[in-house]
Amino acid sequence: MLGTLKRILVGKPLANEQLAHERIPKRTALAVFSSDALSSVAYATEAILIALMFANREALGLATPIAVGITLLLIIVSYSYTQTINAYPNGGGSYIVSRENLGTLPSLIAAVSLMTSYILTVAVSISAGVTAITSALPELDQHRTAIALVLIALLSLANLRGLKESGAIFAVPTYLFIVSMFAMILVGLYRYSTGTLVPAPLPEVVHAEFNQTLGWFLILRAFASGCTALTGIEAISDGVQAFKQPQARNASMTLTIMAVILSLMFVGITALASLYNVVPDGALEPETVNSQLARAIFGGGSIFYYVIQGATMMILILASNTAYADFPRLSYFLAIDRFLPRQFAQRGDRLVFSNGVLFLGIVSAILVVAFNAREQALLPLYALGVFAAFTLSQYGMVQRWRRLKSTGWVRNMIINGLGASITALVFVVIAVTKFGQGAWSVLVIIPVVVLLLYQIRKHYLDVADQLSLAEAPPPVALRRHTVVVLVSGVHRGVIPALQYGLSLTSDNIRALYIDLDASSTAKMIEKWAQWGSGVELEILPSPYRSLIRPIREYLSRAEKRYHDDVVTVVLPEFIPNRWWQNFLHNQTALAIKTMLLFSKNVVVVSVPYHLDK
Amino acid sequence: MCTGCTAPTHVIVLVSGVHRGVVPPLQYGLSLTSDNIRGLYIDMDAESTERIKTNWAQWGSGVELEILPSPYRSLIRPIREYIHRMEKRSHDDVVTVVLPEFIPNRWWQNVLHNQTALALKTMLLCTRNVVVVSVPYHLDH
Repeated sequence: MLGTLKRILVGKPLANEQLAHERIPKRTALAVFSSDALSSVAYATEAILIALMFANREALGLATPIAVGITLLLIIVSYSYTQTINAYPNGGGSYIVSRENLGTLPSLIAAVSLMTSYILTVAVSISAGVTAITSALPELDQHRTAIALVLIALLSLANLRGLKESGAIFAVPTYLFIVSMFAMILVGLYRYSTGTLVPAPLPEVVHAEFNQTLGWFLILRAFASGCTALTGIEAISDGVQAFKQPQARNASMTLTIMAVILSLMFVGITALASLYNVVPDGALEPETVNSQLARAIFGGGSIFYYVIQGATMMILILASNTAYADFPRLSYFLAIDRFLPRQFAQRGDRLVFSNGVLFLGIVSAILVVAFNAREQALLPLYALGVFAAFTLSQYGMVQRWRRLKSTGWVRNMIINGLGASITALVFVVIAVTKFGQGAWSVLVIIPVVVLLLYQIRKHYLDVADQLSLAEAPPPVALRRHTVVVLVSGVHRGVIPALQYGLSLTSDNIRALYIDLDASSTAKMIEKWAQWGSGVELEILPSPYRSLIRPIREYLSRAEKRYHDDVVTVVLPEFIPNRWWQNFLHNQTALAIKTMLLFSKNVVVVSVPYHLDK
Repeated sequence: MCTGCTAPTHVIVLVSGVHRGVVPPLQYGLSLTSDNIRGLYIDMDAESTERIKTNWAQWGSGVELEILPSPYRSLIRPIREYIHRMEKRSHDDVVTVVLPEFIPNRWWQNVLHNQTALALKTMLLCTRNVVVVSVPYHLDH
């Protein structure tokens, strides 16, 4: 029954040989891997403006210079990453690069930073997608968390079915988003320059409560907020292996195209927001800056407005999809290295790492619920992990060039070194300016999870050590069986169990019955004489009506009787014809089995008795 | 009535690798029958399978090791199909399946191990004419 449901939702299992075909061409790859970066223009401009709003209305004019600064940062980091792609054509995520070049601890910091940022990618993007909808249809705002959860569920399902299919589903919205954003920027600039649209003047006081003096701290905080625009640009270098041949070339071309599109959109939208005097509304049910712009330029009731909001929502869903492509891959690498439970390394029915997909879906759903699906509240947590991973990855590349000294290594090292230094600086800026707004939690979580990963690996190594046959004594044949058959009464289910026990040993066998009430016990003794095949029946008192305790005590006595034997407990088990009928029976067998597994040196034999109806 | 219908005539020992946890189950299986016994291993990747073959020669106590392919990466399905084939051949004889089970020292460590044994046991219990023997291996830390 559960199997059928899984078939319908997830699809037919794929065979191992089909694995190689799960590769995607550039135009699909741009949709799958770039949507995360591109979609950040949906909230990055707004994040800058919100930070500047704490000062005064003149401060809002700084938004465009800040966006240009962030774009420069973007160009440096992207260029630095093309070097990573070329050096690691099989996938050079921050974890792989820092593991190879920096050592275990830095690589784990990178991995955990990335994991947190992938989880936040889903939570932030889905929440922002919902805000795109509620900006157009404010009456849906009360259901925002529910909408976000439904979207996460659908995305998880799409990814459990497999990457290729989900890539095809989502390719169109990315291009629709890119086209509609450029249309908005161009029409907006045109209408402004021709004077057909005169922007409303800025309000006298943008935010009555704050009105702080504009200082370096606020400017840096605005810059840090805008750096969320860079989130997601590492996705391509993580997923080089999903590209068609030649992988590295295709991947770095896709990265370059993406960086250009992202820069133009980000600066364009920010400049437009300044020209049109758009101010983020501080209301509890905010309309996004992009929605305000689109409304001003195209008119709130126009079809273009709804296309823009729809495309924004869809690319944000796609952005979460990037995390769904990368998180399971990262957790696979970690599981292979035994830093995560090995379940993360298994491919599911559809050849995807299903457990990674499920984990990502569940944790991001929890975040969405905790933050009521409000992306601007989640943003301070977001960029920190991303920049930690950027820094470690690029510093890893610096070490790599220094070690390999291949042609042009000095130039390459300078490029990656510049990238590493700048992203490290930005990391510090974000940590300081956003600390009180939630960034502190990421600074706590990363070291805690890193420690956890070390513990997991230690456990696996301990187990491997204990299981090693390196100095094991040669196997010794079993000398003697001590058999205990648990009986709950005399019925058809007991007979096969008894016979099975007798086949192990004919003399060292006992039946065990727990005396719960006198009249049943008397009946039991009487019947046993007829059906017991001559096996001795031991009746144990149970003054506290527990079945488990008398059995456990009896077994520890039986175990001491011989030292060269194995104690076997034979358990007759009813198997109802239908699974729900289990509820009509005591799950005593299950409880007894669990107890027995934890008592040392006891082998449990389940002899099933299948009921026909 | 039941005429000795549950004597262990066919024994299968499920093998996940060659390690200390597999030795006691194998010896237990051998105590049930010395000739009608097989080790069963599911081939999930070629490299591990090669290693198992080599190590089995040393630690397998002369028991034949059958290696089943699993194109869909399921452990359960090849085992179920194998048992069904075996049952048909042997006309409803009882098949004893010996299952090595790890018992971690602390309950939370269970999270770090596949719950394959549990899923397997459930499947086996629902299969007719199969008796399941769990041989635990307790980890110390």
